[in-house]
Amino acid sequence: MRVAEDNVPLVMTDAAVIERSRLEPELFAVVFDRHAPFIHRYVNRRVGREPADDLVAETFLAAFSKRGQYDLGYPDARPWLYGFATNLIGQHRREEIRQYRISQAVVPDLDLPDLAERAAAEVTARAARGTLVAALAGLAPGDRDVLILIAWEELTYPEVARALAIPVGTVRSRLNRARTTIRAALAAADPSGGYREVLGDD
Amino acid sequence: MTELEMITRIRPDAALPEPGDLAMARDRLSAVIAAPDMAGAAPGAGRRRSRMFRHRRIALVAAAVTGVAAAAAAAVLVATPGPGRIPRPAISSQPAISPLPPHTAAFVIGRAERALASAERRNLIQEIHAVGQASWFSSVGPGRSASAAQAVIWTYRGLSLTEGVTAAGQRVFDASMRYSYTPHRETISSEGVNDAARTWWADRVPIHIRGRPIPIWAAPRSCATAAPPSPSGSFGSNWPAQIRLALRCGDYHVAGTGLIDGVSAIEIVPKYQRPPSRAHQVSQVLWISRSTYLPVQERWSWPRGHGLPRGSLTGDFAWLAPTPANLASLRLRIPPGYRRLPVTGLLGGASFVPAQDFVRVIWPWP
Repeated sequence: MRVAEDNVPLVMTDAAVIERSRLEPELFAVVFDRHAPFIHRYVNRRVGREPADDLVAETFLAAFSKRGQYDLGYPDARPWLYGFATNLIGQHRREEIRQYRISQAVVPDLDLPDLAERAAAEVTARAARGTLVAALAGLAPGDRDVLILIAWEELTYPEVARALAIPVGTVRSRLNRARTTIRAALAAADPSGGYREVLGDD
Repeated sequence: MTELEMITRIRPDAALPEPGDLAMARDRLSAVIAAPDMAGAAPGAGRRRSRMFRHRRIALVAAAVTGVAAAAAAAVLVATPGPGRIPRPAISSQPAISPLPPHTAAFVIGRAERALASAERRNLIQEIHAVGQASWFSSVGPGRSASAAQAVIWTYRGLSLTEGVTAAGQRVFDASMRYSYTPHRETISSEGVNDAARTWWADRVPIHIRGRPIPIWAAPRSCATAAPPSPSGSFGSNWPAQIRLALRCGDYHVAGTGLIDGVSAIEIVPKYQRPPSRAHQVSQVLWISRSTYLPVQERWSWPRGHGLPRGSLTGDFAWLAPTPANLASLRLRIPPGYRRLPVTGLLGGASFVPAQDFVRVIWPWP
């Protein structure tokens, strides 16, 4: 069996590591090493780099203090950690909205040969992103959490339910509400459906 | 394209962070793992406990002597769990919870060094309860010297404070030295109280040596100039900093595991080779917590010889949060009615095991 530097078998599940960390707290560092990069990226996407460093630390401190309550039936701890991070992000709504507004200014390069065509497409793409970002920022926090965990972090419905400590049915209803809101915002901004076309380009 | 896919399109382009980007977060976690009580304390709880600390510490020492200190210590200290009080109970002969695989030695040493570095970064107050032999801890200052066989030593940034106590826990002397530095001025301040003589002194010496700071209290930063952690030395010996440097310089290896006051601990010892010409050697053992990797106890011992009796010096470590109340408690307490003595000549302070013969004859390092 391969053994990591800290004598924790690499095949050991998060649940097993967390269970062992209840008696040997230093083993919780293994959970950090496994998941911190992903949690950091998630927080960075939502509130930006500067608060992310601090919030990642807070996320793992909170998780460490709650490790005794971890449901050992779940081998993967990442959704559980997403839950702590999401709760902390909830205390930074202003930074989150600002981060979204910053991100809308960045438009991916569009592979169009004609300069005029590209310029027009960029304007449209920027406008579309602006509309989406505004819609995202206007969502109820709970709806936004669900939408982002699914769309950006690619969590499954049960994983989101576990992260946010809500039933799967609530995940579905929140997601549905969020999608409706986004759809309405897009339709109001561009009844011709041009935004969908632009955002569909790779 | 669905709304979900469109939201995915506007996902901010954030790469996974480099390991170095997570260092701060990992250090914070390590620090809390190392001292979970501080993280879990309710607001104000640390302050309340620390308020008691200064008032009770002498009582703690006294209680320890009668063997009832463990519970009291746990209640008072905002520190790592289970550091023992003086005098040390014998190390348990029971086997450790589980043996330590040899291949984890480097990991253990690395963790211990990092735990100490983290404690230093967090400006934790380092507290050592030291038990030596008669007169080994002395105040150095004007008037009659005071000495004790036991002492409590606190180190915090540029401050070092030593309180000599009797076996019964009564204060014999208190002496502090504070080193402060600004770009234009370095100053050493010392204060002392001699309870037997009911006197006190205070002195402040500005130092200007080509505008460079003089690291009087700090441990050396380089392996080339590092001295090993020592039971001897002048006031201001920063044991944890010395231990940290020695660990970083690879001066220790893991010897085994054991229980210190019920704390599962790892025994690490120096790697040095004893010169065969020296019959009398100091034996040094450092115990670090298996859960926090912070020092729990450091113990030196030596056989009788060279005009010195057989003896030992034991230091038990604890780590206190730098709360305003804890910091305030590091100020010297001068009872009313004590007479202030003028300071002439050298700066006052305190010393540990000061005999030069001791250092010359049985100093273990080659």
